[in-house]
Amino acid sequence: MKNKEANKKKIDEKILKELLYLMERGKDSTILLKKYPGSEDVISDYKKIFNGIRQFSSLGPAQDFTFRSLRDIYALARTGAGMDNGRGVIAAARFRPAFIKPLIVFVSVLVFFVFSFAGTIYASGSSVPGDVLYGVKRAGENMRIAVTPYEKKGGLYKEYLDERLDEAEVILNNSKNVLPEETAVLIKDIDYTYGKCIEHGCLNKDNSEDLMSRLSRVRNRYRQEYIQNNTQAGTGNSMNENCSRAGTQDHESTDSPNPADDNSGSASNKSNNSSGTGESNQHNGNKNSYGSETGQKMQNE
Amino acid sequence: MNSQELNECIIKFKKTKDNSYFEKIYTLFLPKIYRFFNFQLFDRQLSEDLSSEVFLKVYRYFTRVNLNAGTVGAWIYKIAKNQLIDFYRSSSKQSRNISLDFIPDHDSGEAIVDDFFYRFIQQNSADPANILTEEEIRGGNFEAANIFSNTSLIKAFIDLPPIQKQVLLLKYTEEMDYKTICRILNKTETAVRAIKFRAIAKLREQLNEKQRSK
Repeated sequence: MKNKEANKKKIDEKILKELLYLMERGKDSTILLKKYPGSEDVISDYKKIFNGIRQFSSLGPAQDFTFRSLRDIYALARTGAGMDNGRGVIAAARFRPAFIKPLIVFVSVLVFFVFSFAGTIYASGSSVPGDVLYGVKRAGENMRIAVTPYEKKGGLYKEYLDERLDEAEVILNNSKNVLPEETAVLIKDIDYTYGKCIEHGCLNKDNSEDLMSRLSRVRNRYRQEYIQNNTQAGTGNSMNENCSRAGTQDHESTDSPNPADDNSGSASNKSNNSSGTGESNQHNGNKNSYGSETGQKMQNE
Repeated sequence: MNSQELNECIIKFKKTKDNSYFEKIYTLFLPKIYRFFNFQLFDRQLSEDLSSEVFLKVYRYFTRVNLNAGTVGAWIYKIAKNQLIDFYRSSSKQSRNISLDFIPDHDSGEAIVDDFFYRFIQQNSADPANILTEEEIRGGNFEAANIFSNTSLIKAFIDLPPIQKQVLLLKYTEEMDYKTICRILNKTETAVRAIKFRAIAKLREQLNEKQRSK
């Protein structure tokens, strides 16, 4: 039953469509009767509506109003009451094509989004882990890597390694607001970027000495922070783990050009202690622990 | 008045500022603008006020715009449309878009509604000789040859959205071409055609519904 009604409505609308088409071309609508048998009622309904709306024109203003209004217009125009610059009225005489307005809106929205996105990435340039815009910065970097051709990626990775080290130095020197997990992620990122640098072969002895020294300095500093935090917490297990970590530190510092001496300063006591225990653990070979992998990569190079 | 005469009127009024040329344009467009308002507001007083205001603007700024016979109508209608929007905006707090005489309360019975439309038709008949008698207005039905003798079409017309009303009025009552309608409503021709199609389909649906309920 419902289906039938919907079907009928569809046919009625089809008839209306064709009727409008025929009317606009001034053709006779009798063809429709042949095409849709039994549609006389529908067509006459539509025709009645057209005629009815046409007859609206028989209603108009009263005669006396026409004269009264004209008199008022002249009087008001003479006094200049309510006169303004008429900007809206004059603008109404400029007929722009209808698509201009949506086009302007579309373009301005597009420009807004592009610029706000670019602006956010630009503003995020000096952010460090823990900042609101840090994610935007990393996303922007990933996008840049994705659209860079392979042979130029190495330079980009080197640039980003430099960037990561800058960030690490910043957060390790004042780490109050940064969660340890975030620092760990950053150090992981450093390893990853370093690995990529090596993969693209953009690090050689001439250009990367400074980078290497910074890398090992950051690693040492991170290890110190990590150990400090854990000894303050004071659990045996974590001590053990720390020792093994410290062990890899020593193992690594033999490879890297710059040992921890120059920046350890206040933390040197603890560092020395742990490195003492670490030496014994070194041969146990904690391969999963942080640093050993990159150490090996460095050796390879 | 054909377009050549209208063009002459426009040029001469701009040159000489002779009011008799303005009056020609005024008498040509006043009934149209009045209908444009009255078939949307269904209030005689308001429509008169608004159309007066429109023509005051036309008179004041006519010399400052560049128009010809093809665009002068579109310009006047555009002013009227803006005037109507301004009116809706200023009275939106009262949320009233048709006359208070007409109470669209379905419980109050058909009598009040019919009475309103009877007065509406009688008040607005321009030619006193053509005024329909009360019986003619009330007595007819949808099948009658003069559909206007029945108020059901206007009643269905009231429920249409403003844009559909405007398109139907401009296209059928004033018999304008699509180019001018597009200029007035700032829409593409395809959009205007679609609005017209939907409006007619809806009108028929409502008229049929009313007939069935009777």
